[in-house]
Amino acid sequence: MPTQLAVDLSHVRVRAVEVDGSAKSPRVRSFTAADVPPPPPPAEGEPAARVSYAESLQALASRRRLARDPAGVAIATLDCTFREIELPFTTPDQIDRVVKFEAESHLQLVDIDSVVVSYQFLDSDGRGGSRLLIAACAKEIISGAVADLGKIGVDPQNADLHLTALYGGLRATGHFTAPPPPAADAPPAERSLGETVLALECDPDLTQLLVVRGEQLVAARALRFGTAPAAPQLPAGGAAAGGKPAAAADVDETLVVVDDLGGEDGGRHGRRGGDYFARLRREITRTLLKLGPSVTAPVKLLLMGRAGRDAEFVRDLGRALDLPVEVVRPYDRVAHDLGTEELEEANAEGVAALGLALRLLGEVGGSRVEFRQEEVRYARRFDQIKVALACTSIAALLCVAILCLERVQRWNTLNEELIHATSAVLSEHTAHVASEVLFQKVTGGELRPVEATAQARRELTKLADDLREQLGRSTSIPRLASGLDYLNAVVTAIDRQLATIGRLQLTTIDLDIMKEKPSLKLNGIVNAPESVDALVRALRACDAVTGVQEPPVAGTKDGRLQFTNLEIDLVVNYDPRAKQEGGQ
Amino acid sequence: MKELDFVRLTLWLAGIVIVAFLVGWWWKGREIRQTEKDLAQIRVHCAEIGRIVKDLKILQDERRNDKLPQELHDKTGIISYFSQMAQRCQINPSRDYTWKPRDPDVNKKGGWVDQAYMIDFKKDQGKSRDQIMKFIFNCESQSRRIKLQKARLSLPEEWAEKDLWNADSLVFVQRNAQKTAGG
Repeated sequence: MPTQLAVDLSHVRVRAVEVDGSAKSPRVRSFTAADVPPPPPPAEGEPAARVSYAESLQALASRRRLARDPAGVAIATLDCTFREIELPFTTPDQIDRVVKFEAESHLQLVDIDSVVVSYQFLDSDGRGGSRLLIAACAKEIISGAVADLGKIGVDPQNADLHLTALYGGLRATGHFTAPPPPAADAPPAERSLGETVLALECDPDLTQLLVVRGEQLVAARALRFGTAPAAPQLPAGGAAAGGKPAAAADVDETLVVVDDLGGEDGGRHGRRGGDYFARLRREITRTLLKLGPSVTAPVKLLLMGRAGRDAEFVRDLGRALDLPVEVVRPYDRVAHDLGTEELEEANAEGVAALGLALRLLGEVGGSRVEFRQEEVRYARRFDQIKVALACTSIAALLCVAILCLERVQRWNTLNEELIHATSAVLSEHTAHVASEVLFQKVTGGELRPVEATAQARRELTKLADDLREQLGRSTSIPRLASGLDYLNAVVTAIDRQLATIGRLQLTTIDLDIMKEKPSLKLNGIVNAPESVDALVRALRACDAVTGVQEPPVAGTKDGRLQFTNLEIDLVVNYDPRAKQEGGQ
Repeated sequence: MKELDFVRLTLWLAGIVIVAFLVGWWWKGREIRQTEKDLAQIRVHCAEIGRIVKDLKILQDERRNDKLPQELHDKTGIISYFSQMAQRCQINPSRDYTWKPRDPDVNKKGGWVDQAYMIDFKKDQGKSRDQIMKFIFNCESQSRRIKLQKARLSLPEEWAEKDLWNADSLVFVQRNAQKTAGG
């Protein structure tokens, strides 16, 4: 089990105990305590300021690196209001349901919604009913204490009550003796309920009284008078100021009675009914009387608090109450790592802190007061942020949903476009190939649209290539040169220069473009030798001609000039259309 | 029974749905990218197919207008082709010329077959320049696969006044793809 931290708060001291192990074998790791500075006096007409523990807790934390989680706190007894009530049932479930409503009628001066009500089971009446000590603590006080603890990084899971934590501490350390088990045939009236033991914690501002029968707490009271101001002068180690133990005379001289309203109207010890011991005796007697015959005379008094370190006080107390006094040393009964002085201090004032620490470890049967309820209930870190987290996640969900919808819509649009494009391509394919196989494959999911269009492109390309081949237009089969194109080119060239050439009478045209070097041979008659030259020039200017040789000429009977074998070398594979396209 | 924590339940549900949505969002994103890629490719295919189909239409038109028979061994078709062309320019095929095919010249490397046809006009049947040129033009223009390769035309002195020419020899060559030619 991890180290647990128990913080016990009172208006004059804060104490912290670190404990680990288990409820059966606990081990106290450390005990530290610090004084609480008194709150500033309230302004006139203003309510008293809440006691702030922040400074004291900071002092504790600076002294020692404390465990932070899990942790518990015991709320100061002075911050609570107590009542005893009786209910006609004993089970916690039934009590839990009605305790707040029952408390409302007993706490008439308190706004019931502003307080947390918890209870400690005191006794059963033997007729199916129970007597409870109800404790009401203002939510503001609890949240203030939790906030103060938060400043040193501690978020207590439990908020116990100092008064009942004392009982838990004493009970867990075996300071009470359970009654012997009754004989099987013993009548109920003769069954022993155990010895009655009183437990007192005498603090400077408050005296806390527990009446325990056997191991059962039967009464708990917070008597609003204390040993002040002697106790605050005691140093943290329990010694008197200046390191010397407080002298009994000093203590006697400074004991005051704090009344129920917290005032010191009792005066000094020994004046105007202000004898601490007398008043204490009176209150104890009143408490025991109220409990009636079910409680036997107390056999001993267990003393807690720093006053227990004053032997004279102990002696006077025993004498005043006419009871044997036992100064409790609960820390001697558990394993611990404390030093001598630390142990003395812990034994004197750390009972409640120990009770709370043992409760955190799982000890049952002690205090069952729990103030962390309703608005001030403990929430794990996750619980503290889970609502915000849920809101954020819903917002994120909406955003993601919108993003998804946008993507789906975009996908639908693209898909539609894809289908239209594919349909257009496949329609063309079907029109030329006369087959709907590709359409069917796409519809049947055998082919993706892009695969179908690629296949359509391949098939159409092949179809066009086949057709080109059939028509002699294939790029792989060379074009067949046209004899007509050559003749046309030559005639056009001659026609352009006809005015220079004059009258031309061709008698033979011999074209052969099947040879490696295509050629044209002409025979003809012209009027003058210049005409032959002009003819040769005209032919050389022709784009289908590569060369022309001067022809032999001879005169004719009618005085004209006959040229024979005018040999014209032609361009291989002449294509006038290609030239036109190139020119464009 | 443990109390149902609605906030925790909401968180869990929202978390699961968000994760599901995110997975869907990612998956749809992948599909969108794939579809965009496909669409871009289909656009390219579409443009190419458009060009191919345009060419195909032209080729098919050309094929419809090509009067030359598809098969080289279709002699009747070839004879008929030249006859039709001759008759259009008042040349009598049975009287004015003789038609003789040569052996096909197979170009194995190029994958085509050249088939030459020799048309010898009779010596006593002079034809005007217009008739001869029309005949040659008709033969070449009615099919892209046939071209004049050799021509020997002469103007005898006695026909000079009438401008009647003697077409001693016209050689036309038809070039076909080898598989179309049945080779």
